[in-house]
Amino acid sequence: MNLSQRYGLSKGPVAAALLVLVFLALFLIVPVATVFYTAFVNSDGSLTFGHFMAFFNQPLMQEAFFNSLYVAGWSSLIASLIAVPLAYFTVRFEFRGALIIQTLGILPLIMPPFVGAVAMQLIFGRSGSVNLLLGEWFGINLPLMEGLNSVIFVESLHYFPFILMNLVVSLRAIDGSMEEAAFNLGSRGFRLFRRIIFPLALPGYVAGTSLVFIKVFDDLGTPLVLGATNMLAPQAYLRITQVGLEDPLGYVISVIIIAFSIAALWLSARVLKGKDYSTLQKGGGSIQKRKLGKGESVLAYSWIFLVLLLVLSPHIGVLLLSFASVWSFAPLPDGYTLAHYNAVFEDSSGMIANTLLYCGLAAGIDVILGTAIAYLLLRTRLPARHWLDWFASAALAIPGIVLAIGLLRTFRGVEIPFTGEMLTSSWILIMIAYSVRRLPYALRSCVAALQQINVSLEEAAQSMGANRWRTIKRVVVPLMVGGMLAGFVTSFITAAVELSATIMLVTRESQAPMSYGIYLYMQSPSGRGPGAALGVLAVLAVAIGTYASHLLIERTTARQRPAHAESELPELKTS
Amino acid sequence: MAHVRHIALALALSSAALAAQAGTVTVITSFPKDLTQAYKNAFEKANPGITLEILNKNTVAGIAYVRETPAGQRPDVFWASAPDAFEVLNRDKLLAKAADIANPKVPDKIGSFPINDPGGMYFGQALAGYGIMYNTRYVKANKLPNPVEWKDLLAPEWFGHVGITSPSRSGTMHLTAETILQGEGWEEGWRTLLRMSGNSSAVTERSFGVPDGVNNGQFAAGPVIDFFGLSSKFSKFPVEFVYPSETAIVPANIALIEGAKNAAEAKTFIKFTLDQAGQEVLLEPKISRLPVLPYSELKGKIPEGYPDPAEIAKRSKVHFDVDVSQSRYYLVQSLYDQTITFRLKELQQATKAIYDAERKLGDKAKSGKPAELLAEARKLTWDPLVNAKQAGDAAFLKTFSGDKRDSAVSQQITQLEGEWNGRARANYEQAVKLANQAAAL
Amino acid sequence: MKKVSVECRNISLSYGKTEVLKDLNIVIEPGEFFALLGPSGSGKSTLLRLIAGFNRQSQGTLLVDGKDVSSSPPWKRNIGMVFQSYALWPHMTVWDNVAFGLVERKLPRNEIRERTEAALALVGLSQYAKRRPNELSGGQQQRVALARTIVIEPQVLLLDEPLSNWTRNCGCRCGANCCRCNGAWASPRSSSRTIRKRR
Repeated sequence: MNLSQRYGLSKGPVAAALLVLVFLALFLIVPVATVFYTAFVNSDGSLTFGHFMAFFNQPLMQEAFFNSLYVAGWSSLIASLIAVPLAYFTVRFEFRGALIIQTLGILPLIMPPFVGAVAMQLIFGRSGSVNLLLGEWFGINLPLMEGLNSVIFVESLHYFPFILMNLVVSLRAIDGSMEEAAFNLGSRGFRLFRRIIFPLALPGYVAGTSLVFIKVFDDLGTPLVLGATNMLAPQAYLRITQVGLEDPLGYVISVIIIAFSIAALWLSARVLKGKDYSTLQKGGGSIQKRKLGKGESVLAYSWIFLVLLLVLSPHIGVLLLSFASVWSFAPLPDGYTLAHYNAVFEDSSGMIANTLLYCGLAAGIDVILGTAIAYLLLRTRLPARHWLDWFASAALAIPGIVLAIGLLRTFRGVEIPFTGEMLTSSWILIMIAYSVRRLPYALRSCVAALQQINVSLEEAAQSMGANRWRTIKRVVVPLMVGGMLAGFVTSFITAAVELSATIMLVTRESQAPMSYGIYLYMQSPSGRGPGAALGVLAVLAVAIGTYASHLLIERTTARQRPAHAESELPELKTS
Repeated sequence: MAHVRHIALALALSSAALAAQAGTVTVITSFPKDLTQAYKNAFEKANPGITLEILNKNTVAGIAYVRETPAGQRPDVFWASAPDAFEVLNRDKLLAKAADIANPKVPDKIGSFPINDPGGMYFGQALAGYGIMYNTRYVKANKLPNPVEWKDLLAPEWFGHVGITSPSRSGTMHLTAETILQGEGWEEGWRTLLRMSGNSSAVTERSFGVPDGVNNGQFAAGPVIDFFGLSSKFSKFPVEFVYPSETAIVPANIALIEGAKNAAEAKTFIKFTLDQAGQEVLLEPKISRLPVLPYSELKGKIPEGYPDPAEIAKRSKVHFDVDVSQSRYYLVQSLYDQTITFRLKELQQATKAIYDAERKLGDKAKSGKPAELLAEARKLTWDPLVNAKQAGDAAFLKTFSGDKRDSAVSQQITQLEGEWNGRARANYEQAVKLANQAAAL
Repeated sequence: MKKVSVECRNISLSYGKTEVLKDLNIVIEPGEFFALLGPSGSGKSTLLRLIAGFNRQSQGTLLVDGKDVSSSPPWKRNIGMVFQSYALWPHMTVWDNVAFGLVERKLPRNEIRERTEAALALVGLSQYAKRRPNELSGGQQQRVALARTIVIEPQVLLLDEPLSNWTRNCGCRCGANCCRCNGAWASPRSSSRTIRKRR
């Protein structure tokens, strides 16, 4: 039996796998490898640890390192403090506020953090609305937006939904009988929560929290806008842009950030190993929902209200700013105007078109690649197909700024064929950066969607005479559409609000997508209003997109719900 | 499917982009969108067929970008506030000569400062002064006196109310720092800078962070370039702007980049900015910059109460020397960052400790042991780590212009920086101790 | 439709270390109705899938109509299989499900229409043509699965555990219809008879 027969290889899957591999190699593996290489190499090409020594010798760098850890750690903690009670309320209690909590789970994610940051300054800054009022009434000033606190505050408010959503899923998967058994044995209340429920929900919590930690550790846009530059990502950015692409320290920092992200991912995978706690048994239900007592009700609703207010503050702030004529050293703006929206509509149709183009293309590429990888992974026996999955998912651990640096360095001087234009100054590179970094999201969606499809559906098609390609076209893809769409939307949305890689790769104002446009606007006194207006538009677009895709997904999966109960069989006809 | 349509759109757009290349001038600038948008509109109207592309980067990043892009692919025009940046570019042979497009009506000097480069490599396009911008509401609410001179910002009651940025991030701040250093001498100038920074609440990421912070009341005052102050006033922010006597009027320059993609049409743009029409754009209230063309040429277009650069230059105590500034360009940036930007918290603490001690002791601070301790504390906090002699030493300055890729050079520099950083921190902490000791007496 | 023979010669198949089929020799004569009976795990479904082309034998030869089909992919074998789970495509109507194989064979539209109508009539589901599978009961779904397999007039018809959902009545009638082509089906029974292997 030859090799091809043993592994069930045929031209189609191999070609697909090669294409995917080339894409990943060119735009992910090689750039990241370049970054690693540069960090370890002298100008004459010899290997050296000298750059790392230089890094660790600098007190500034040590401080940046510590600060990044500090901020990421505290953000995870505060995000947990917000998310855990909310998750518990949703799952444990019969609750009319459940819908609100679900919304809470989405709202922060659709507002780009750096846009919210400006608004948060106005509301929570030392001369912001809250402190002005507190100063007047109580004579105190809360340093919510001072230094690193501002980064922690903004990031926790933005990322807590990751923990909330993962935890809710985890909690819902706990079989009610677990709890009943505990009741039976005398445990209740907080002890019950601590000893039974929380440990069983741990996988969800760990998954969410590690994700928050990594994303905060990697984030460039927010600390930059808030002026907290003594952290790793901003330092890498500043060094590369100011000292130059040759500066080795920027690469050292990049390597350290990646190492930490991978370490965090690996650690969380280890903690979760062997702890598949989804215990939902046949015929079992989730843990019981209880009714809230009067006092508990008040507590629950007030906590939710407080969190809702906090979460909405950047949105409210940006909205106010977009209509404000002048807002300075006052709790509220002096007056209101529509002029900013006018300015935006005049100037920014280009930016909006750019966002649609780059993010749409990137998301499209992601879905195609995600489907291909999912199919290769789950439906073929190609050797080393798991590597494709790992490489594609590894993009999660690569911060935007590092990928941008790697791409800039790898493709330096490379011209796009037939155009005489440099790849590094072209929008195509921006789009590629988006698609590489968003691929993990699309991939997970596609894998989940494909896993839902029973192999027998494809085998039936094949036995009916459809070859692999026809089967994919007529059976697999139509059934995956819901998941593909979800992947498309997630990729699109996260690309539309990303700034880290964008800042490094945009070379002309006409190339700017909305996120960069907002950043630019915020650089001049008369630009804050229009910048906020553009931010509002971006948030609206993202919200509408999310909602629309949610509806579409609901509709397409409705057809695939399981059949209802058996009914009488009609008479058979014989011919 | 959706992505097929997207691909078609992309192909169409890229071919359109191709067509646009021929008539495109790319300008790399640190100027804000208000200004670039106004010029874009005016220029494209006067020159249909040429499109202006703006690339927005702060001065230092802009230099690095030009240096790293291969010749033939570079942006066409460099346009920024800081003259020393142009010196750096010139020295690195990144500028192209374009003497034929200079506007003869532009005077040679402003004060004692040459407007155009004598070698014809770059041109003054606008004039800018440096001064203090302050938020009237904040100042009133905190009962601070309206600042007039730099020294006013050094007073103890200004602690925590000043906003600054760093020379490495802002050509403006670099110029302001150099102005102070040249006006007061290296050591006294650094004392001023350190004291002002000690009074600050934050070091912002871009030069715009300071006027922005003053605009929305985050801090009371800060050093800014004049047009930020003036244009903010126009936008109805509750702010005021003053030129201290220690100020410089320096040109903002524009130059043709060596190895530009579209040199011919780039020259058209540069000429436009120097001509009457281009100079008038500067006078728009949203922009509020000072023109290089003398007011006699622009009769009738000058708004009421607009500052006169010639007047201010005459009044200024500082004669700005570009060569000195350029020779110690990176040294100033490094020293500032290591002892101020990245050690801000400790510097603030030391400053606060000294003021608290002075306030507590009152008259007792003026003599005896407390005076000694406080003097020592002040020295530790506000004296620069590099003295005037070293700063003038050519060999020392050379260290900073080595090739950073060479890990030996890179290590040398980072080691020096590390030393400064460490020493500064130790000094500030020691100063806190001494001040507390004094206060306890 | 020509009647063909199916022959297994010394077929062995292992999943990793587990030997599922060992040195199997079977001959199914043209037009023969062959039933595989045995307890769970005896390899019945594995053998059916082997014939259909979804599994590969580790050793031995599989001959259909005297030709070695081992290297032939499932879509070229003209073997119809009714799956245990019916495997109806939920995003297609009953009509499209049944017509699927005909569409794949690129037959003219009238012919597709005629044959699909006939197949649906045969299993008594003509009035359900526009419904989706998830609107049908289990038994109805099974009949759709059968219709779609019969309509392509395969050389070999494989039925995997077909009796689990049929009423007695339904079973006999459908069984009668299956005699048109070769058939083999697998079904668990509590009987102690196992698959005989010819040496």
